[in-house]
Amino acid sequence: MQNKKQIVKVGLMGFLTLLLLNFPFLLIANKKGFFGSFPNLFFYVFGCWISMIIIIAITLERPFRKNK
Amino acid sequence: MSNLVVILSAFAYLLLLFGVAYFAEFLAKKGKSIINNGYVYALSMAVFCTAWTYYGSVGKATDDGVMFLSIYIGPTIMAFFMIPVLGKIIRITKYQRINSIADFISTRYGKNFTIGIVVTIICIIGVIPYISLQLKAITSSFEIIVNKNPGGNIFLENSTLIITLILALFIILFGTRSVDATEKHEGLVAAIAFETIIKLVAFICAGIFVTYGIFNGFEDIFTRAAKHENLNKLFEIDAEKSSYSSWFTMMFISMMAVIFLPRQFQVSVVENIKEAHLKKATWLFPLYLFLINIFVLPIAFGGILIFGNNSLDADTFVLALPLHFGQDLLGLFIFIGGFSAATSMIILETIAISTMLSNNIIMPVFIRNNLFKKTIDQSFSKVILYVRRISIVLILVFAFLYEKNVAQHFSLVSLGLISFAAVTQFAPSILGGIYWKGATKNGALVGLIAGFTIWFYTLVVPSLANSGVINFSIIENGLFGFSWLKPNALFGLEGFDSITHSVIWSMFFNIFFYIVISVNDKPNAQELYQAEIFVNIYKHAKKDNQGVWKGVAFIPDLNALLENFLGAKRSKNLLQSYAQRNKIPIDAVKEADPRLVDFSEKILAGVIGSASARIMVRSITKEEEISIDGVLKILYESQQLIQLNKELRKKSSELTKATNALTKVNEQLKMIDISKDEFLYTVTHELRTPLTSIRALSEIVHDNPDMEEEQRMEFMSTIVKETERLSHLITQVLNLEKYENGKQRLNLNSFNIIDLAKEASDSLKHLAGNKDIEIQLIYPNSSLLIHADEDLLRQVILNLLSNAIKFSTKSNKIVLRIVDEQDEIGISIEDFGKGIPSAELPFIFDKFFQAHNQTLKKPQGSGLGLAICKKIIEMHNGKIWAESVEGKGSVFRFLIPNFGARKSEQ
Repeated sequence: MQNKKQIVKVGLMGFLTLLLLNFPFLLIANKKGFFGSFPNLFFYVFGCWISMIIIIAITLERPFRKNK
Repeated sequence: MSNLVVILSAFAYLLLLFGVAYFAEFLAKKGKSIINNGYVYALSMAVFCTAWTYYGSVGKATDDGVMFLSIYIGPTIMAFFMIPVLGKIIRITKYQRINSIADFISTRYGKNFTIGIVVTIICIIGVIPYISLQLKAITSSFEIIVNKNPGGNIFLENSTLIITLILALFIILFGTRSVDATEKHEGLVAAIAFETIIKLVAFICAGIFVTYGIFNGFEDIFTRAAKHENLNKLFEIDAEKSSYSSWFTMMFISMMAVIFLPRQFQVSVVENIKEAHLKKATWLFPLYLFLINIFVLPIAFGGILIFGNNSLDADTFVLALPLHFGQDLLGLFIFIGGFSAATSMIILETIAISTMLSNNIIMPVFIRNNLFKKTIDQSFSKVILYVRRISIVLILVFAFLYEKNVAQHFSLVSLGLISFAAVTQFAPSILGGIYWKGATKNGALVGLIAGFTIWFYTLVVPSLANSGVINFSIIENGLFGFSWLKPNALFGLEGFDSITHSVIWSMFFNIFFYIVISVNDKPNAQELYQAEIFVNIYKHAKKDNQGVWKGVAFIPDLNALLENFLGAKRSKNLLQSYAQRNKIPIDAVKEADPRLVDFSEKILAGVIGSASARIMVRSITKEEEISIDGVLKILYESQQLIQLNKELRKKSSELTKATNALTKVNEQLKMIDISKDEFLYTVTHELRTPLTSIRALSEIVHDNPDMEEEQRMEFMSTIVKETERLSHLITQVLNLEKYENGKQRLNLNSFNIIDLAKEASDSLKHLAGNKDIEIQLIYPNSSLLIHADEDLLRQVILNLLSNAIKFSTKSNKIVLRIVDEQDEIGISIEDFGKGIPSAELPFIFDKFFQAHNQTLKKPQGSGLGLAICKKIIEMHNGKIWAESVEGKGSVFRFLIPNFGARKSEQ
């Protein structure tokens, strides 16, 4: 069905999301203050979240090149 | 807003839902499925977002800031693992025709009734309150939107009941069309997808209104909130309150819930049409979760900024804010959005649980008591459909009563998380079940019961105590006064929130018993077989497995059984098409093929669940009790066949190789035979030539006694010469024969190769002198010892030298060069004669080559010299070759490994 490499990549991104959005990495952004219009923590959480979704959407939807 | 408008809108919305469902089914009948694509599949998964998301997230955000997000980030992460994990579950479900999560677990653990019942009970106790919560959300949102026009309305009072009944009708209409619960509910899924869009659009409208209508964008809300004394603490996760562990726990249980909640299992597994749709859902579903959460924080902060802290329940902000600012129409739309979130959840959860309730609890009762046998003349399918319909009504009534009487005491959010924690108990037995063959029924059963008991004790009991249903002292002093049995601090574990505390202990005992009992258990044959199918589904799903069934069954019996559940036409169609596909004779023999029995059982499993199906099929067949060995044998038979096949292929390829080698050898032999014939022919020819002249001359001498003396002497000398040539030829042939046979042993000794070369060139000086040729010797300064057969080597050098002399033009020179190449000694003999045509170079070492190509006068030599040289050099493990430029001369070179010999000083 899917390219095996794609599945591995997406799974890896899953683990990365799990790490980035948990202790201790969450501490990076757990500070008062703003990043642009958004409080640091909100920006970090939403930013990580949507970035991962976009990366995975691109990974899965891009027509995969056949290895020559 | 007037009550009537609100109520009419709600009913109009429900009517629209019926319309969408009808339309989808209408299209499906025409062969155009609108749910057969990844987008609708991903949207239907978003039934995960219920009224709890719609209203409750805002409430939770006002308490804990971003904490509520973990409930949506968890499913996002799970979605990234959907293709491998959910893909496998879907494959198993399709293969085994499973129709609910209880059926899945029961089928995995040997089609066991008990475990199916336990799972169903967990779902009922754990999830029905969650359905009540949706009803409660509908009621409270009703109250808010009509708040402006107070005044009791008998219709409003009972609106929740009426809506519940309408939903029951909807579910019965679109959810119980066919007895086959694995059949896709086209209309239902389409309606759910439609609702999903409505709730997202409505919530985003609310968000945009609050963010940009009431405030001036995100920055405005957040900067104002930062100045607010209660809100600015929500900008961070409070590490003091063990929030990180809560964050992680919520993430974990929502990861599990997004697969194991009955409604999620229903949409993402049972209703799945194509596994490939998972690919779209992997990113589209998380995107949905992301979008629906963007405005939660702005609405929460906006609500607090406008209403203050305690005046209004934060759960209602979504609806209350637009209404507060006079946006009645927007308010109505948002109300419909929340309504859609609630109804979609109720519809799917009810259908999922009703399937479990009827197949895993009610059906077994029918079967155990032989109720089906008594009504043998009637079609069972009607009975089943009624059982399922009654289950639906029962569940909804139960949820309604719970909402009216108990749910009033709980907050929205806690109920949702408690449900999540309940279905998390399925994680070990399902995830373990699809990856670990060693997991057994007893392990899963005890694990589930232990986990569920602890869940109940640590989460439900405290809620009941808090609401005064049971004595509060159990919380303060623990069960029976044992302080280590306090529901909120079991075994003295403190410092976590109640959900984390419960998940820690329930998962610990669940997993512990699951593993410990499994590894010490002896599973029966059926369990082993199912374990093999589940874990290695990709292998088994490829072929139509024969199953482990052994015994005698008759086609008419099978047909009758299926007929009872599916009707005569359908069962006949199914059996015949299966038989045709697998080339099983169905009319010819009365005794059914095992595959047919297996197939019938699977079809039946889709209707009444695998455990019941097994019992029903057993009841009409004479089944042989199969042993564990039998199962293993059948399972490994297929594996062995593959293995055998592989070996056969290997053998056949070996055979082919051997045949090829034989053919090659045969060809070589033929070549050798031909060359032998040729050799014999040449030799005899060579022998005959001198012999003819000897005979002729002898006859002349014999017949003419009065021949002149001089003439006779000439004849005699020719005869002698020819005789010599003859004997030389014979010696050569014999030598060659000796070398080729390997009869000739090397007489190895060490000698100075330079001396040998000198000696050889000296002996040919005279011959060379005749043609005015000079032999030039080039050699290293020191003596060069070689370990070889001196006589044979001399023969080679002499042969090559005399060849060189033979082919040299007059008044020229021949160079004999000796080179020390460390491990080898190289000797080359160079002449400057007419050379050898390059086309002939490869053949000059062949026997009689020269003779073959002798076009001119008499042969010069036997034609065996070079062949003998080559043999001798090869016997010394050396090699010999020639280089030549036509018209300029040729070089013959040979290399001999110089083993053992040492270079010594001269």
